[in-house]
Amino acid sequence: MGRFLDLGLFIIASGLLLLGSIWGLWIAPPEAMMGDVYRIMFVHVPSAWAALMAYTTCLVASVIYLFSGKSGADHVAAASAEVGLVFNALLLITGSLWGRPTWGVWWTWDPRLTTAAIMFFAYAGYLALRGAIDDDRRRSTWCAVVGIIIYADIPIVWFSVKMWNSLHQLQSSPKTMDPAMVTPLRIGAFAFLFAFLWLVRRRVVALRLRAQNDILMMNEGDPR
Amino acid sequence: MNFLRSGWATLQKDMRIEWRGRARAQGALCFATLVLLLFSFAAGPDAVTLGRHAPGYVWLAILLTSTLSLSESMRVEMDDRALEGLRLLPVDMRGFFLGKLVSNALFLCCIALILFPMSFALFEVKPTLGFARLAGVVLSGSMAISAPGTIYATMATQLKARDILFPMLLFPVLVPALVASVKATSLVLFGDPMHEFGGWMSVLVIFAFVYSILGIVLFERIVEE
Amino acid sequence: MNGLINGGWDYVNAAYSIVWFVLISYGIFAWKQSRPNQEKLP
Repeated sequence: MGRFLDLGLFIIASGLLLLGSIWGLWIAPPEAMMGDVYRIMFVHVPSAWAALMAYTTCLVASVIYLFSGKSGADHVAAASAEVGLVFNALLLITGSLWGRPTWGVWWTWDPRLTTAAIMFFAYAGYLALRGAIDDDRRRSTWCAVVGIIIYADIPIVWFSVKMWNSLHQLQSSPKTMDPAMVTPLRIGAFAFLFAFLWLVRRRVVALRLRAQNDILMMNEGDPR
Repeated sequence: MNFLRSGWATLQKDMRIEWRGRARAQGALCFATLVLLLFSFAAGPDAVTLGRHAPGYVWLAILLTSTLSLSESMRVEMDDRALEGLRLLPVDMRGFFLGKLVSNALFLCCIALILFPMSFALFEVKPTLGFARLAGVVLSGSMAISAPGTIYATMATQLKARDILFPMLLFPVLVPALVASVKATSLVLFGDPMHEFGGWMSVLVIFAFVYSILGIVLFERIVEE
Repeated sequence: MNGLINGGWDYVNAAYSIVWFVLISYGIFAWKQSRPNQEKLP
């Protein structure tokens, strides 16, 4: 059952990614103001959603771990933080590549962009902490606490950067969109959603295997 | 009741340690003033530029000093496994966290008490909105730094790579606190024509409040492992 | 191609290439790591 689910997720994710890229690059019409550059949006915006989804999953799994103490919840938290970091990196790179031709700068202190950058470093620290603790229970509990602490920071960071930058806001996002541009964006969103699910499942399996392996090693008395 | 008593006892104990081992506080103070001087050297001798960025320099100096003072204050608890001994006694760990948090914040306030007069002299600025507001910013800013700082210091001091991990965990989370303290301080120093001071103070207070509550709720889980 | 910004294709291509490259390489990594290592398991 799990194998079919994995295969299904993989096929849907890669199919939608391919379809979304083809649609976004060739079928969607150029935008009136930004020309062709706006096509980056079809991968940029979905990666933002996927990253936020991954971090939210990490928060939920952390809370579940603190209440239940099940190592499965810890594995989900670790996996989703890692996958979220990958999507967050894509978000920053594509955002930078969008900013250069449209606003003339690689980087701007836009609240969303800045929050994304800070979250990238916060979750990088989270994963570094994971790597630094040897004891399983301590790692799971501490990382669950840190997962909650970091997530609580997201709205505060966003709000404070928005307030900080309010006097010289440079740009606004295009809210009214042509239906011809909504379709590839939707495809992209679902492509990233399924890619996220597949990746998290693979990472959870990998973490579970490693945990089992550790137990076996311990029983055999094999120094690691 | 035990909650507040444990907190008060921890606070008193920390104050006494700080007072008896003054060399540590002096070291931290020396570090803070050196950082302030180094920022001035890095920015150049132009008085106008220096004055405009004075709040940023002072808060960065406090922030960098806090990484030393926070981990030092938790290291004391780990020496001779003092924290483990404390857990055998009927000490409320939430109260212990609160006491630690307040004592760390007070320590940072003392650093600020020296750094701000120094910056008035060095950068030729003065608190146009009055000392009371500046004190409010310093107090809530110190609480905002100490709240997540105390949680992370408890973890980091028990790790091998603590010197790298502690700032790596703490600095990203502290960004809103830093932005709000610097903004509020510059409003106090240079005037507040747009009435933004209240907004920034509420960011600081909310930040400190959220992380104090999170710390009180989650601290027991950290020390029990 | 009558937008205000012309010649944006370089950025678009770079963005899509990076997204595909990162997703494929991370996918391969995730796949390989999640395969049970037969030597270590009984």
